[in-house]
Amino acid sequence: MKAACWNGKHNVQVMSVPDPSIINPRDAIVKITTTAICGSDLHLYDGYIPTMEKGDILGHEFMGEVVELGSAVKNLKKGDRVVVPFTIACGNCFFCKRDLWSACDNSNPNAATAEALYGFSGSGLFGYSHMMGGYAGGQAEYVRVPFADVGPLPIPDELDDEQVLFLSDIFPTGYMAAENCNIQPGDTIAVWGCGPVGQFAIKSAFLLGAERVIAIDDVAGRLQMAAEESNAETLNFKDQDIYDKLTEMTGGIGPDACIDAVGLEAHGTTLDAIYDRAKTALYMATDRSHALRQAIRVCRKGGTVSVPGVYGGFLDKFPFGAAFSKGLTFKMGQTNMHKYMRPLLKLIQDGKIDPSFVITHRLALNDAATGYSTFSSDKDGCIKVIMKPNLN
Amino acid sequence: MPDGRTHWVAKGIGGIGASKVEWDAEIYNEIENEMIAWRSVDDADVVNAGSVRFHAAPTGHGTYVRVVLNYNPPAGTVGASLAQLLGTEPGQLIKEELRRFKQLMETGEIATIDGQSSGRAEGAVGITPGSFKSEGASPDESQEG
Ligand SMILES: NC(=O)c1ccc[n+]([C@@H]2O[C@H](COP(=O)([O-])OP(=O)(O)OC[C@H]3O[C@@H](n4cnc5c(N)ncnc54)[C@H](O)[C@@H]3O)[C@@H](O)[C@H]2O)c1
Ligand SMILES: [Zn+2]
Ligand SMILES: [Zn+2]
Repeated sequence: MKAACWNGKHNVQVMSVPDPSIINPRDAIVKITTTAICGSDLHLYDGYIPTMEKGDILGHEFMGEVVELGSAVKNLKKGDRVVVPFTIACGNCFFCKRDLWSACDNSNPNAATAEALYGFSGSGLFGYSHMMGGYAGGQAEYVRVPFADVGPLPIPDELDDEQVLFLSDIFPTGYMAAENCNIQPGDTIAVWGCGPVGQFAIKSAFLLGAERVIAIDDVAGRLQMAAEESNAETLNFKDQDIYDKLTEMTGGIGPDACIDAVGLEAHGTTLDAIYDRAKTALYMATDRSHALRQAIRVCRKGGTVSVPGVYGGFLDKFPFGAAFSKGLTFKMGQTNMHKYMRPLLKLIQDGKIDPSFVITHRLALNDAATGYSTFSSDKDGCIKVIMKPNLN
Repeated sequence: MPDGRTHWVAKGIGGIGASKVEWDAEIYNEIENEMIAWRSVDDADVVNAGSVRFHAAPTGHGTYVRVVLNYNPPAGTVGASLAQLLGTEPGQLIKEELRRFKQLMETGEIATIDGQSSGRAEGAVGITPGSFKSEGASPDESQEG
């Protein structure tokens, strides 16, 4: 089959590789109909995530048709159309039973590596480094899906791929980010980053009852999408001081909750951002946390900072004193996918949201390298890339 | 084997000494649902004894499984640690075995990627160029999509 492989930093190549096969009884093989490139994939592309190996098959946002089933999968049948969650979870362990699916204890074959770094390992992930399991991803013609009896969500025929594909990651991720803000009537939510995750966090904040959402980025096309698609107020951080502006817009107290939908590659124009860039370039710190720092500083006292943006290692100059003295609540993590997929599918079916609004590029799988370089370099024109193997 | 004895072979041993070590073991104590204790018998390559104990974890968090292993290094390799013989530290090996055992008990299978597909597989070949620099398998420019 064809698959998009990570062959080094800024090097994605479509390769012809063996077809996947059933390895464990709870596996399924899914024939991919549509797959997407995520902002998280850019962290791999840019070489920020350790333990990638050349030849790893990329991709954790995908859907398709079940073509083969392991002997223990009874709830699916060949021919079912399914969306697959990017977190791999067993459904049996302490964490899965408490809806903490991204903390599954049993799905990462390389848990020891993650334990050495983090103390405990999160769940296995598709196409997201060997520390997170080394599972082959779904930017391919076929994929092996472990624990297929608990993950894949069957999709009714009347919904097309573009409407439901983002149930695989970014819609639940934006939704959990907003849910983590514990939104009360009248609340103002500020969202850093108007990439796909930010766009869904904005929409979800409104769905969950926010009165105002203020979206922050420096990319005009993305701010425009937030304004047009979701009625967010927008701030370009190149044009103004975000702390001053947000304080002014909120009657002097700051937003009730702040969402960092940027993650470890935040860029900025202030001194701390430039300092971060120098430090990460010198490998003295691993993550650039400019947006997160800003969120902590401006969030109102007793407010919540919700972090869907990915961090991998160590943060420098983290303003913990500010967080402590203001009594902030922090919520973060990989999305507990399995908890959200069904209820969010219902929102799509009820016409409350059509997630396809973020798509700007539709490519053949063969064009994966172009997809990555465009998504990486043309933030203005390119917001979400989807790829179809059968366009090849 | 007769008398409830078992025969053990530890393979893939690097470092000094033997390429594999063998021993017979007998279970000398067993309490149903609580513990199993074994010891090596006769002239084992690695004289060893150990036990596995099971007991309920607090507040319903499942079952503790504790493994205790004592061993003497093989004859003729005095001073060699089992770590050198096994190529890894025995505590870590046992921990990984216990992790797999837990996975098997809780999920019915052991999480693995052994045997999955990748661009490193035999016969895998690049069919489009890499995006910036092609360090991967030979790209065929004519097929660029
Ligand atoms: N928690 C999860 O489970 C999960 C799932 C999916 C993605 N993510 C993460 O969410 C983050 C966003 O993903 P995406 O797909 O939207 O990525 P993206 O790269 O398309 O979007 C990031 C956006 O942040 C903007 N940005 C950069 N620095 C900024 C700053 N200082 N202030 C405000 N905006 C700034 C960029 O211009 C860009 O528009 C990534 O870190 C990704 O890894 C997490
Ligand atoms: Zn993603
Ligand atoms: Zn689990």
